[in-house]
Amino acid sequence: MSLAKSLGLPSNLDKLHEWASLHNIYIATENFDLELWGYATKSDYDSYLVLINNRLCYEMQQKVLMHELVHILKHSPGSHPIYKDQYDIEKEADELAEKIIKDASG
Amino acid sequence: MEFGKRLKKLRKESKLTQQELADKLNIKRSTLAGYESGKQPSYETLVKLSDIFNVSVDYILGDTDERKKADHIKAALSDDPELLEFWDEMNEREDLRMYFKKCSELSPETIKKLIHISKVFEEEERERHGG
Repeated sequence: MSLAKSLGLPSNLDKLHEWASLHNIYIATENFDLELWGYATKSDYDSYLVLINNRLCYEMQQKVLMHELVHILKHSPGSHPIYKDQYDIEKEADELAEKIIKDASG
Repeated sequence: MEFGKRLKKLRKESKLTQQELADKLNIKRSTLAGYESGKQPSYETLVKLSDIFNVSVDYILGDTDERKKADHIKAALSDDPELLEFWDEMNEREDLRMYFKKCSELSPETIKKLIHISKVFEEEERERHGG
């Protein structure tokens, strides 16, 4: 099974936005200073908002989006030990995001 | 308080031995002992320490007594009571802590913008679910 599939993501990343909206994940871009690449938050109704910095190039936006989706799918409390060090979580999200994008591009 | 003493204090508060903290940082115990004697670590190590102890890098370095990362967020929102109230509510929610944890590294302007967007998102979702 592909990594994307094991996380519940579509294997065809072109359908990522469609998949996200079906899972109550809203994706938007916003102009931020470059100190912030992406951000995710969760509502009290189990829906998520993922913001990607519009000032990043397209490839980086894709990587950052995948990074935030990995957080939502793998690191939300209940699916992951919440007291794991933040540094490890960030590293894991980066590594998985990169691997999923690489797998998808063949 | 200088860096070495503060690091030792944080480690003891977390009830970690030098070896345990060194393992978390992937460094030798003797290297950690050096830090506690005042030798400055790399920036990457400082960020790891900041994550492990959930305090700001500036606090570890002894440059501020503002300890918790959340204090930095509160300071950024201090002139906006509505956002501050929203932040206090959000900060109580365990399922949100992970998402807000990184905010503390950002500038006050960006923190404000993010908390404002989060508030609008929460309000819109509440409305969508019938209030």
